[in-house]
Amino acid sequence: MMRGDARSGHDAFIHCEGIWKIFSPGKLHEVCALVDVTLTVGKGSFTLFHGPSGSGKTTLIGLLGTMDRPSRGRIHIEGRDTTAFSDVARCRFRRRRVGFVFQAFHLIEKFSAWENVAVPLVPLDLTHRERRRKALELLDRLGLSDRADHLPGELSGGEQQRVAMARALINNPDILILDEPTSNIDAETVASVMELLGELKAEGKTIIASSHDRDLVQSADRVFELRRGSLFPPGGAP
Amino acid sequence: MRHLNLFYTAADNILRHKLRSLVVLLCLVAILFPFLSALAVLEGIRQQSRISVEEGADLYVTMDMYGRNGMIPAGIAGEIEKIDGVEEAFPRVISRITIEGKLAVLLGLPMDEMPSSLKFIQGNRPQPDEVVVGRGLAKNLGLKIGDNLSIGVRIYAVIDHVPYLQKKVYRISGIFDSASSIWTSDLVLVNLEDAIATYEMEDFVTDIVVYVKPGRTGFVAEEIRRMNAYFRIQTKEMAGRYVTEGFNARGGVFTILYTVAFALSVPAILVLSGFGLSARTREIGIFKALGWQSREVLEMVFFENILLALIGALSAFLLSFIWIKMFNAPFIARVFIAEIGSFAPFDVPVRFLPLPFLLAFVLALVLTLAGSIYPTWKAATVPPVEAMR
Ligand SMILES: Nc1ncnc2c1ncn2[C@@H]1O[C@H](COP(=O)(O)OP(=O)(O)OP(=O)(O)O)[C@@H](O)[C@H]1O
Ligand SMILES: [Mg+2]
Repeated sequence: MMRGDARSGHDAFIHCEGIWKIFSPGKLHEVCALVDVTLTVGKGSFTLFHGPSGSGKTTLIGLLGTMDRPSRGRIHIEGRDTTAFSDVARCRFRRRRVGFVFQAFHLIEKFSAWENVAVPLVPLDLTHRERRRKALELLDRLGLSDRADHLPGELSGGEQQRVAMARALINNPDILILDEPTSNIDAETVASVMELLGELKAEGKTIIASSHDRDLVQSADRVFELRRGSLFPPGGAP
Repeated sequence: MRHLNLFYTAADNILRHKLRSLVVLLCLVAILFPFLSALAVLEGIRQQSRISVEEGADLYVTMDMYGRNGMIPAGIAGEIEKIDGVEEAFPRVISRITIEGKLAVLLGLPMDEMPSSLKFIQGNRPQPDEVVVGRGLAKNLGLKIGDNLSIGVRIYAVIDHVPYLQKKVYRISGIFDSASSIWTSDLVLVNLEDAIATYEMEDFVTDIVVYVKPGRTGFVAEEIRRMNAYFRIQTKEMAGRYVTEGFNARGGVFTILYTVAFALSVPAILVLSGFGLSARTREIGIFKALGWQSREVLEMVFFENILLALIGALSAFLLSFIWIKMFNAPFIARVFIAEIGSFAPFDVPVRFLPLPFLLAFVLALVLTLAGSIYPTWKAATVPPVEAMR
């Protein structure tokens, strides 16, 4: 019924229905991070989740990126129920379709910038030289080619973010998810990130981001407000 | 290609986490080094014993004395030599002696019957009141040809529990060498008549050594037994079994000691290979989040363990090789060889075989895998967001 509905739409690229996420269920410290979230994301759009700290943004976009399973509810991407995927299918889906930039970047300390970018390529049939070439191409595009051999600890926050961004893009995913892409950088750098996101959107990628300030609100096609795990307006009506 | 990439990444991980790798390797070496050294020494001793048994005679004949081996008349040798199929038979005297307070073996042989396993490197066969000593003994005591050597030949009285030794001074007439380094450090050769006189045995000897033509051992033994029901006959096989069983028993003692040490080190290595695990869990979470399959993560960790185990086994092997070959196995040889101190006075026999090395590698692999596969598997199968926190 909901799927035929105008709000979820036939063109819904991502469609979430009634998702809940409960951490440590049944325990004393049980946390209900997401409460009955229903929404749709259009293909090639830029969707922003906005809300205060602890409202469940990271949890929600993690679920959209198939990093975890919801406690209840379904997430369909192009009509396929990702919540029913096996672990292997989920990994394969992430590898082929999803690029994820984490809030804390999660770069591997002992790997240099280009090696971090190339991590997703290691289990593929590519030579060391091909991996390095691909990684350098992307770093170059993000203006970091001179930092390729530095360790993350030797890079500034903004540079680390761009390395994380390059890593997210290395497998040429069609869904790019960014957790708080503007929180660690100054206004000038925000502008360059926005420019890059614009380019990527023009290439047809679906972009999903979270933010606790209003920096990105103007650039987004659609903004969802999150409050204590619930979506406002409910169902994500504009 | 994919597997090769995972393999290189594994090798990289070992190099990058230097401290962790080093600690695991040290633990492995601590466990494998005694294991490899002990097996090498044990195998060396076993090989030498086998050589001395194989180069020895086919039959040894003694006389039954209250159920034990007793003396036998020297003249029997001539009788035995007449049996069809006997190549050679001669009497000998073998006895325990002390040289400068240490136990050794005195072997009295007819002058022309030198065992083929011993080769003269200096001097002459012993005349009366002369001895030939092994190279090891000569080296340890700084003996040269022409020197005098005082030998405690036997205990002649025990007064208030103190044994009094009868001593005899011999002149050294020659030095021999042997494939068996143990022989050269505690064997002293004298003339048969001399030994008989020293022990006042009056034409009796401790045993008669018989060499037999190929395939005739059974027949000859039967003939000897027919000569006198009181003869006791020991075959080469029996001597061999006796030697091997003796060493197996010593190996058993080692096995017990080692098992105790092993039981203590295993928990240590399990704890230590979990060393830095929270960082590892996070890393695995990142790999998974970026689309690695669980089995790819496990494969990489497996390669890491194979490499660590290989390096560990190789280092233990090298260390053991150096320890035994260059320093002569301090503290290890005494477990296997009777009556030596921490530092062996002769070249400790040693033999490195591929099987113990293979075992060491498998052992190391099992240990490192036991320490890492479960945490890795756990980190790889929880949702990546959880592993990354
Ligand atoms: N693994 C977990 N176990 C228990 N509680 C969790 C877990 N992950 C998140 N939470 C809780 O869920 C709620 C939402 O967390 P989430 O990280 O999604 O918030 P957020 O909107 O991203 O906040 P921020 O802006 O600070 O990043 C928080 O109250 C948090 O404490
Ligand atoms: Mg967050």
